[in-house]
Amino acid sequence: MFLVPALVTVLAAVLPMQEEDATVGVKVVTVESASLSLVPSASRKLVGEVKQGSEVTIVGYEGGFARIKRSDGPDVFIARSALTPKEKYVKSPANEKQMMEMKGQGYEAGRFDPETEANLRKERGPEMDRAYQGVDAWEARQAWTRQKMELSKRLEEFRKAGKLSEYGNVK
Amino acid sequence: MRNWIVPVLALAVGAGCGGRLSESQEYYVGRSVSANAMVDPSGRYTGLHEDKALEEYIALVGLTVALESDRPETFKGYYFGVLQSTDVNAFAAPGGFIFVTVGALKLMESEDELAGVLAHEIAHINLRHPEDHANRSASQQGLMSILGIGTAVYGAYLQATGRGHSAEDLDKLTKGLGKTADEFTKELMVKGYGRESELAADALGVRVLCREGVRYNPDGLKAFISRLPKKDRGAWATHPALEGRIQAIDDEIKKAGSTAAVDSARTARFKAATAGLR
Repeated sequence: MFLVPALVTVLAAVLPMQEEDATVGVKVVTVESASLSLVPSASRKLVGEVKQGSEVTIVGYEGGFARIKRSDGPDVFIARSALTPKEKYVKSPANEKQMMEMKGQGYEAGRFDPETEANLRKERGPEMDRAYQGVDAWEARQAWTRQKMELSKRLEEFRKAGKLSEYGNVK
Repeated sequence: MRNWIVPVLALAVGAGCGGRLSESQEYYVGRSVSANAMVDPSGRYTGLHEDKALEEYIALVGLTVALESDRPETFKGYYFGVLQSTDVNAFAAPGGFIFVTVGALKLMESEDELAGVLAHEIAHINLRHPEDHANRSASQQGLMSILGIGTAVYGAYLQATGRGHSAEDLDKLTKGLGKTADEFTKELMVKGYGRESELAADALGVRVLCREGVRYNPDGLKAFISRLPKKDRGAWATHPALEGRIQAIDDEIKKAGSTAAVDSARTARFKAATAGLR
């Protein structure tokens, strides 16, 4: 059994990393929330957002962004790094049989999660628990950064005041 | 339980263990690395610098860059924090948790320098350097058997059926998360990702700074690196090494063509935001 970790290590070192998916078709959003914008940007000209697990139909790519064709309006863009092919998205299997079938199809991802973190916090004692509370407080303080439409407006004001982007001087 | 762990491992090996961590998995590793960064070497909690206005300002600079980068979305977005340390340092933890020390901020002279340093760290996230590092660390511990491809489905199954981890798996995962985060924090805060990755992050950082939606002056990154005290240069401690890095940044700036001018309004707001540190 001790050979297994060694084999895994060797294979992990020699096998290539997963390439960025460049196929069109139905993709699933893998982040908590992803911006939709009229230009390839996650901060400018936002028109909305889509939540984790939403399906979107991709018709092409521009740099780091994927183009979504809409029947009721102009095309919009979404960060391609926020998407995974539908067949690779980890759904919640309803029972053990379904779980084994899905496992057979091969899925990415893993299993560090709130339960693991809670156990680690308990094991590491009060000072580390305070540190995790510090991380929680940090995330809470910066919750405003997850209000995407408001953030977009605020960043525009920030760029304008600092003469950045379209408000700047290019030499 | 053991009955299915072996097939899962076989599947993981067969499909290539070098595969990516999921966005959410990366986020949890990043949280643990961040918690580690908030304690001093003696294990005492030090936390982040308490100036909320400064933290907010740094987040605005960072997000201006991050949201125009190649990876504008991470599982729960980017976070920017100021570490209570006199060392001159900045680093990115998996998932988009970005730290800059009080020591580094004191050494900076403008918003463009701050943007340059943050762009470098954001580039590490774009290039998935923290994740590669965490993957390697997990692989070295033989953890891929429980972090592998099929296990995600098992995880989702547990979630869907309301069952928790088995005690055996939870123990392995807890040790794995702790060890991965510990090793990662140690290497990250002291060594960085290695020269090749650092140069790649410089290059991508410069390109992002010059993008239409950003347009910070990329000379800021160069100016800050040139000013680094020798003890804080890490792998770039020797003069030729540092010169080579600066030359590489210069070459990338030339490739970018036109660049934005430094604006006094930006420098003024940087000075105002960091006044409490000086």
